[in-house]
Amino acid sequence: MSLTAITAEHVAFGATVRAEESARRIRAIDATLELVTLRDVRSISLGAVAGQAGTSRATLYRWFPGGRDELLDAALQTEMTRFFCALSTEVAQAHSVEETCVAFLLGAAQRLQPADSLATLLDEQGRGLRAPLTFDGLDQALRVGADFLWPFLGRWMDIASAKRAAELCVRVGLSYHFGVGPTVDLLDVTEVRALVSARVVPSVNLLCLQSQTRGSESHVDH
Amino acid sequence: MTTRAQRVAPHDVLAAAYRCVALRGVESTTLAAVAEEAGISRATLYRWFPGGREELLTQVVAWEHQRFFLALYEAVRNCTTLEEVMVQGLLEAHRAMATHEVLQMVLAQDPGLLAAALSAQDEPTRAQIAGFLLPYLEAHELAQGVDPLDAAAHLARLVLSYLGAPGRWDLSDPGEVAELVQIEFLAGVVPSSLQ
Repeated sequence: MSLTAITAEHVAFGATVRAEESARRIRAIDATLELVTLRDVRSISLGAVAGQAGTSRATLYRWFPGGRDELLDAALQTEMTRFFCALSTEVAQAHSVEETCVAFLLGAAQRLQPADSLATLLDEQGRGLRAPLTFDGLDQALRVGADFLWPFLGRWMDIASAKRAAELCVRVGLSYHFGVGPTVDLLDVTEVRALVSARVVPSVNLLCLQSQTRGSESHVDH
Repeated sequence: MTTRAQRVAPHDVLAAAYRCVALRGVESTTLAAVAEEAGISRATLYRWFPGGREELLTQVVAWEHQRFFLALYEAVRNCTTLEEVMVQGLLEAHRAMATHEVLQMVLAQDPGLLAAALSAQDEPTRAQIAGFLLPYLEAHELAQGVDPLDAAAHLARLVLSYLGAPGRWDLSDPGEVAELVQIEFLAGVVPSSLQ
């Protein structure tokens, strides 16, 4: 399942509960996530998960016929759901464009720290955020982030502008997430606020103004 | 009498490895193939690149990466203003990447290799681009409170980001690039044109 599909499905408020999800399946996923925080993902076997979940490998195979890969994928999907739900709650409470962007960058950074299970699982799939993203990896991260963020910015601007603003905000965040040299601590609210205020807000203001100008120009034509 | 090996430098090996990649693809670029192309022994090759094939390929990427940017700086040498150099730079970089056959081939064949090798280049390239943009920033009127060095560092980060993934922008369109530069690069850097 692509990350974009996961976002689209899980960005709604509240957890998405699939009808066929059984308690045993959820326990297996939780057991997997417990192991992810305890040890190297590569060393997690189906047997280890079965032990942690208090069940048998045979039972696990019944719920996850795809084996270890399917189980890890399900665990990643669960963490993505939790990530976007928690982030939604925080971002929705923001009262301005600036605060929305700050809440998004801060909340995302807090939940994507290297030791967190979400970051670990993304790394394992090669979609990690340990090294600077480029090409497809960056493209995908931009789309997933912007797809999530734009409806929240849409409270203050038209959809087209919101999409552009969201992509810029995500891009700026990703640009400062990596690397050495002068960078911003995305876990520090003061630094994030300064970054958003200097590097995101002026651009968003300008693109909204342009959008309004174009809108009124087309009105004049009528 | 000097032997062939004594007249070959590590730099020549990188050029030879690049030719191998260009002609045969990444997978077929083995150490044996590179040694033959460079006219040296495999022993010499291992001595110069103890990390083996992985180290060699990473250095080839770094080498071509550097050549790419040097050519880019040369291409925009005659630009006089900040806006001009950014617009022309992005247009030219995009064009050069799109027409770079070896890059496109490697992206198709082994994107992981490229991503890994490029991440080591990220910081030095950013510093280089920032250094290139700094005089243009210093010559331009800047928005209140904007420090040219900080702005240069920021613009350099954005340049690499857009070159890696343009997102919703068409970097082959001069009009779009002009708009992109005005809105997403320079809005907080140059004085506001907002009425």
